[in-house]
Amino acid sequence: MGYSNSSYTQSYLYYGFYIYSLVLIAIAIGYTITGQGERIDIGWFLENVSPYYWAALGIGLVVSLSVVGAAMGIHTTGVSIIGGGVRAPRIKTKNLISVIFCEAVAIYGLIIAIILAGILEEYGDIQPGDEKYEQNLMSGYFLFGAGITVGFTNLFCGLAVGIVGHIRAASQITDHLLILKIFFGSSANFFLFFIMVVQVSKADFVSAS
Amino acid sequence: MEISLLVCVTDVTYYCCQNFSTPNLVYRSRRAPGKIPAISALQSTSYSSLWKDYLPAFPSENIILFMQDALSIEDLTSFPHENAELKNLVSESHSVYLPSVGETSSLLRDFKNEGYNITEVSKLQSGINLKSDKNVVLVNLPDTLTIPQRKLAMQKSNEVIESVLSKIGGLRKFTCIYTARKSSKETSEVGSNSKRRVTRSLQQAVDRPAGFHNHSCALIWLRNDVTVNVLGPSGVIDSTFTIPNNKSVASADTGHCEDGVSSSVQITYRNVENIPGATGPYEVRLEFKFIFVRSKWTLSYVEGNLDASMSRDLVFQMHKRKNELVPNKMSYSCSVKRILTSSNKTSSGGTMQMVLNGFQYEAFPSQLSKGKFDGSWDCVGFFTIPVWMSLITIFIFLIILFWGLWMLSDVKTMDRFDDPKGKTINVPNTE
Repeated sequence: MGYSNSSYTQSYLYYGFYIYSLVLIAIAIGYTITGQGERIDIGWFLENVSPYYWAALGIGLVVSLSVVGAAMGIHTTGVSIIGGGVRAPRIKTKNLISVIFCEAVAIYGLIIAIILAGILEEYGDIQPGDEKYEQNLMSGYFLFGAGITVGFTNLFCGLAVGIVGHIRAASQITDHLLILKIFFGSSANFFLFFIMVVQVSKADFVSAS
Repeated sequence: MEISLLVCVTDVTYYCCQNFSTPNLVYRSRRAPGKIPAISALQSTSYSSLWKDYLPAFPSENIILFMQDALSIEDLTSFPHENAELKNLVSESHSVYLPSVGETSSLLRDFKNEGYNITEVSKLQSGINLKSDKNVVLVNLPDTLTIPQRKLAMQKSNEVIESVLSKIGGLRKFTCIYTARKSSKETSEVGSNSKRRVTRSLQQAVDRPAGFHNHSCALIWLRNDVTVNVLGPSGVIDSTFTIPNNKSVASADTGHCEDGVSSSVQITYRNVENIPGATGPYEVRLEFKFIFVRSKWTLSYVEGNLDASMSRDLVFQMHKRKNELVPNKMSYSCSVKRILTSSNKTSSGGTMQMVLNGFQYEAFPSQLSKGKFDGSWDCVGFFTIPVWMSLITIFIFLIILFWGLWMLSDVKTMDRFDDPKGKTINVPNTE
């Protein structure tokens, strides 16, 4: 049969990543062996990168990772519902609720992104080394951390709800009367609001004036 | 006659790059005045430790400073007969013998900065009395390097010491310091280097330009003359004068060096004209201070006595606008012009601006002995911050792209029923 197109693509992607990371590691080794190891200065990088960058990255990651989680969940559960619905159409309406729960994960992510974007505001011309800059940098880190936390949690939550929905659909094909409550799958989402509120409670962007 | 004698033999400092080893002997008369700290087991005593620990143990109102051009431990121990006079003095008084102290050539400058009144011994002998409370009598011993035999040189020095002490020792209670400007012995580093064969280009004498200063762990090169603008209270330039490079006296360069902490170089310019407030030719001293901050160094300030109408000696501290940190083992030559502004005011209420036009400096170079600058700092890293930010963002986008492409390529279609010539499938909709 020969090699299929998909496996070629996968190997290209593998090697692409390897080469990218190899170039970065080679640069790092080059610095270290020429005695300039301390020029790889993570502290300089973290201090001088603009807080806007961290905050925007956090906000973007919240919504995008949540949507990825929801999409993968719907992918998993939708395939099994439609596939099972071919031979047993009765399961279609009952299992719509799994899809809705997956979608709710994306909505949560969107709401939290809107809240975080409300905290981010323009702070004028403040340079690194200033006292206000440190407050803004801390706020940027808070938003980034909240974004990463909520985003990845929603990602895995969406995956979980998807897999549970798939199993529910598949088992309902064989057992007519099986009623499963899958609501627990998305319980992780409920806690996210509180976690997010705690994380960004001290985030406050002070302006120059 | 009560004399204190502290003899410290200064040796080459621990970076072993300059021949600055001077013995330093401080001795005191019968009664031990105060608590003399124990001399550590290390060979070298640092110059700052000499000032902080040992000198204050002796009463320091009146000091006789015997300054030789070159001295080392071997000179004091190898010639017992010639040094007999010195031995007598040491035995009949309290003394401290430091075998290795760095940078004793800046002793005189620091005594002056501390407020001592420095008198040449010849003036004393001709009848001038010691007036003030703090006196240093400077006795420049005859040159020993010109005499081929150290024996004779040490004998001569001893005779001079004896004669000076007999003539003026009775005037006051003196603390005597016997030291020298540099070591008479070469360092081990130089000795090993001399065994190497060097190419002809290295053997040719290197002609240093006038603005190049190599002293106390720092190298400074001022390509053009330093200009100083005197600003009025409103900020407008009132007058300007230059400090020309050819007026700098290289042998008068002094400075301190604390390895890994700070370094200061003082450059002396003699017979500078047109200084505000000075009637005649003026002596300008500029001190460049470098400090170490978190494995990077920077020029902290430049201090100079630029206004002769002010009575204090070191007047102006010039600061840069922002401190640029240069990584270790790299020199700085990024700006063509650097303007340093003084924080204190002139007598007319304005400030002064020092303009360095064309320069390169470095603190703690790796090739200090050769006086060679290290590579010049680019003043910008390999990747700037925006480049890093965009690299990381592109990395995130690439992850997303690759993941999406991976998932697309992972979709398995049902090829089983895609045969156009096969029979169509029939899915019964039974319930």
